[in-house]
Amino acid sequence: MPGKSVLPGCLLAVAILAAPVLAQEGHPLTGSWHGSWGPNGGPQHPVLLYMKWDSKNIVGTINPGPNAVPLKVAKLDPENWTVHFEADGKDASGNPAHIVIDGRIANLGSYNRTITGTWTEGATKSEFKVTRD
Amino acid sequence: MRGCAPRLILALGVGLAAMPVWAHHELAAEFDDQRPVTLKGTVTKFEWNNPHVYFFVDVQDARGSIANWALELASPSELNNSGWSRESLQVGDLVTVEGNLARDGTTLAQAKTVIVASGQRLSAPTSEALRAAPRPVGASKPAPRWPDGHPRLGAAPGETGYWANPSAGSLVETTAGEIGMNANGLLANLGDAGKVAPFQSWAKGLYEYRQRTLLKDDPMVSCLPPGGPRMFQVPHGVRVLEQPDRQRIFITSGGGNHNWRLIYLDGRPLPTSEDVSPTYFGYSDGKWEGDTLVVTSVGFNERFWFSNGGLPHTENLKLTERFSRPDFNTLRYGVTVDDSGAYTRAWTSSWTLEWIPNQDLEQYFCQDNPRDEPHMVGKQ
Repeated sequence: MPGKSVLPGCLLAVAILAAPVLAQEGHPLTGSWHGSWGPNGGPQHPVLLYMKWDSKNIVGTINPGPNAVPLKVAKLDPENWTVHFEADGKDASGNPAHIVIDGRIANLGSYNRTITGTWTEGATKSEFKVTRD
Repeated sequence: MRGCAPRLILALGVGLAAMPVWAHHELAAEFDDQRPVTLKGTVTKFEWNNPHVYFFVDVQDARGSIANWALELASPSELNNSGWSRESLQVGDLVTVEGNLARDGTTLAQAKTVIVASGQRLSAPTSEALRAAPRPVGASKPAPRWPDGHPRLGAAPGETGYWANPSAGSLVETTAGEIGMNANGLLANLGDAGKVAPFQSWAKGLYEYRQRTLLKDDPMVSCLPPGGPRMFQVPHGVRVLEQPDRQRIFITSGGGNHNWRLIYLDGRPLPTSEDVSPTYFGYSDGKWEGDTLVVTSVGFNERFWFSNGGLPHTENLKLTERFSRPDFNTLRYGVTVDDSGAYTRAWTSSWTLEWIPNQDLEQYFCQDNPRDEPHMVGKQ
C-alpha cells in the first residue's frame, strides 16, 4: 500500500527536521553554516560555509568537498558582530572569480544563529544568508 | 500540612523589593522586576517539582474572562528550607499572589508572596534570605584526615555532609579587585566586564552580549551540565566521594542532573586532544601537594558555560584546580584558567565553600519539569 511506503519516509523527514542542534558556546563562527546566495527573487545558489577558530584566526572553507574554496580573509568585528570574508573561486563558467562576503550575525546566543548580508562575485552583488547547523 | 503554616509566615519585608530567588539560572531574563503584578484567584494545580515549583491560578478579569496563570517559585529544596512543603497550597485555595510579570507577555509570573484566604502570607525565598538564613554549620574544628595524613575533602565515616554556599558568584580574576555582581554572575555594572578576565576581543564581546541580555541563553536553562569551575558555583552544592583504594575521587553536583566528574590519582598521563572526546567535565588527573589537592583537567567541549555569568571558553581550555580544607567547615577552591583560544594569558580565580553537615544532596533533576526556556527573552 502506498501509505505504508510513504510513512517511514515522512517520519524520517520529520525526524531530520526536528533534529536538535548541538550547543556551541565557544567562538561564535565555529561550525557548519548552511544557506544560499543569489539575487533577490532570483535563482539561489546553495552554500555551505565551514569555519573554525584556531585561537588567533578564523579558518574557513566555502563548500567543503571537491569544489572547496578556502577563505583567504576572514574577519569578525565583535563590536557590532559583522563579518568580512574573501575567497578566490570560480564563476558558473569556470572562470576565476573573487568572492567577497559581508554580513552580520543575528541571534548571537542562539544555536541557530544566522549571518545575513551580501555575496559579491566579480562585479555582481547578491544577497546572502546562512544559518548555523 | 496546614499545621506547618506558622513556619511559613515570614517577614513582610522580603516582598516586592527583594531580589529574585536563587535558581539554576538567572531569572532576570525571564521576569521583569519593574512590572509587579497582583493576581487573585483559585489554585488549580500545585507542581512540587524541580527545577522550579509551579502553581496555577484561575484569574477572572473585569470582563469575566478567566485566564489560567502559571506562577513560578524556587526549587522544592529551597522552598523546604524556607518553610514551605508540598502541602502548602491546595487545589481550590483562594489566593492573592504578588509577583513580577514574565518579560514575554504570557500569563506567567514569578510569585514572591502568596496570601491565602485565612490571611496567612507565604513568601518565596529570596537570594538574600537564603544567604542570610541560619545554616547548620558544625562547630569549628580541624579538618578530618585520612590515615595517610591527607585532609578528607568529603565526609568522614559515619557522617554525611556536602559543600555549598560559594563565596563568589562567578569567576573573576584574583587581581581584578571588587566587582559587583549577583549570585548568578550578572554584573552590577556592565562597564566592569573588561576587568573580569583577560579576554580576547571576541570573548569579551560575547561575554558583554550575554550580560546585556541578562544571561538568557544560559545552557543550564536547557538543563545542560555545569562543567568546569561552575560546578562549584551553582546552587545545591557538591559532594566529594574519595576512594583512596581505587586512587580516584568522584565529585557529584547537587544541581544540573546530579552530574558527576572523576579525578584520577594514580599518576596516569593526561590524554592528548587526539586521544579524548571532549566532554562537559573533561579528563582530570590529581596529585597531593602537601595538604592541597592539585587537579589538572583537559578535554572540555564548548557546549556549556564554564562559569556563572557567561564567560566563554574553547576546546583549548586547561584548568589547574587547587582544593584545600583549612578547617572543618571550609573548602578553599582555586583555579587557573589557561585557554589561549579565549584569553590573552592564563589567569586565576578562587573562592570558598561551606560545609553543610548532617545532610546529603537532595535528589534533583533539572529535566524533571523544565518550563523556563521559551520564556527566557532577556533584553535585546
